[in-house]
Amino acid sequence: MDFIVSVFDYISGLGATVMIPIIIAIVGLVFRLSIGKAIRAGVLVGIGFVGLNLVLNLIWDYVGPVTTILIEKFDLNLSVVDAGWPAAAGVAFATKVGAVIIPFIIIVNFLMLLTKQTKTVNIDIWNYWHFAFSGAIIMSITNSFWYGLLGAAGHAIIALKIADVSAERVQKEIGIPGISIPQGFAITTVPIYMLLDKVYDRIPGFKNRKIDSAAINQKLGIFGEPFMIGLFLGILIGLVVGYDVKQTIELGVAMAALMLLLPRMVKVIMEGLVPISDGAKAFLEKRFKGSEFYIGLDSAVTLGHSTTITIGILLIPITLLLAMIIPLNTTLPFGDLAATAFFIAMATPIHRGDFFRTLISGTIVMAIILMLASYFAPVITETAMNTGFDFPEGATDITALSAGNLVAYVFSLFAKLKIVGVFLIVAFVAAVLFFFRKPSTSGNTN
Amino acid sequence: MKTIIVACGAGVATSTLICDRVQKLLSSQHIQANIIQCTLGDISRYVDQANVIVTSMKVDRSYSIPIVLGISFITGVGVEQTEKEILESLS
Repeated sequence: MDFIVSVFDYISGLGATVMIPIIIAIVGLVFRLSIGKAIRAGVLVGIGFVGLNLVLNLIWDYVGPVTTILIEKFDLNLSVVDAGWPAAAGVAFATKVGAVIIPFIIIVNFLMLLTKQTKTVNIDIWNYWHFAFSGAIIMSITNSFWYGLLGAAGHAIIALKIADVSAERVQKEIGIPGISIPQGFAITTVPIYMLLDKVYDRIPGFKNRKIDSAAINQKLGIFGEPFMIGLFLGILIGLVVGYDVKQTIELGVAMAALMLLLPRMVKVIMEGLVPISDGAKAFLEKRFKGSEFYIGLDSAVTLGHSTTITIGILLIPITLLLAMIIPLNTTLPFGDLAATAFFIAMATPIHRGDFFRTLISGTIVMAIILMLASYFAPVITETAMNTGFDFPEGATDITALSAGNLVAYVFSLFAKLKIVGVFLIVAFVAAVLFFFRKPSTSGNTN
Repeated sequence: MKTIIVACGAGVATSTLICDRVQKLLSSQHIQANIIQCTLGDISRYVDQANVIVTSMKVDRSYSIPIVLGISFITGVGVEQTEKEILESLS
């Protein structure tokens, strides 16, 4: 055991670009890939990380200086840059917890299925990064890899449970039978949206308001491509901070480049993960197949709803406005503005496609997310530095809106209490399991 | 040459998986085709140059070309039917 740990410590000490290809190749071999394919997968994922690192430099070169001006000139305390989910996922996967997250979460899921604590088979391997993120945060606070793993497992267990609970509504609203959504971020918004839905029910005039979101959607079409959002935002910010024409356009193009290139790097990582994802899927499917199980998918499956698309776009200006007025916020929203629809992925099914409910809920959740993302900024920046991302001297702190989830927040508060916190995390997860016990036990008892 | 649009939420994760499956399907049938990978919002930009759209989610809007729900490539349920639909739209 000690030997394994020390080998592991040695490998992870080599930095993300060395560690990740090696670990991913090993994981590939565990899932029965041939040596050639395993190495190919590892190297591709490694290349994705090298690319992420290169592209992130655009933030420090171009976006960082802007935050300084915003602080000095306008007294806006936006000192942290939202680097978006590609960066958050990259950092999470590049940590020690992230390195083992794929086989680890599969084991957790396997045990949950075996003990009939869940019906969800989570085959959405890419989104394991959310669990890795929670684990990495706890590891960073407690300096313990094992506590980190425990946190990742806790987040994954809560995700499976909430996926079970929301499965029926999701299937009905998006019209795909037999699925559920255990995506690490989406599940943390489910209780919030369910609670808000109950509140709306009690407010008169909040019932049956129909609006044709498809028509609005057509008009908002120009915002379709993320890099155009980047360009537009860059030019807008350039003008606001008083850049000259050259600097303004430069900032616009740099931000457009970030929006296009960051996800492209993730695509490379994803290409590497495809064979591993297949192996993991085959492993789980062989054992848990049939109508009594839900197939756990990415929250993206709900994004086809026109309400989600339209409000996703409306949330871009709303989030920028919120960033300026919320006192606890220090984040300059940017990278995840291209993915705002993901934040309300669960709101639309829970509010049954109601436009106003989804809009109001989305605004409330974005406000919470901004505060959480700001809270996580120091620990994300520190974790990114420790995992071998090259931060220039005096670089701006980074965070990601998509990292601002409530489960990671609650866990991080607990983790500060060290060993007591570990018990609290276990107790919290147990409480969630107990609170939601009905849906999965009903299948066994009748 | 035929062109296929593969779209998902961010045009990155799920669509990469679907692209991989569509590519395998095409090569097994000896069909040469372009694949455009994009986000849901970008579909309308490419519709004019494509023959079929494969998405990871149900889409409310209708387009001038057929749209196939490609979720079976991820869930593994009903893959043959999806493959048939894609091939029919290309023939």
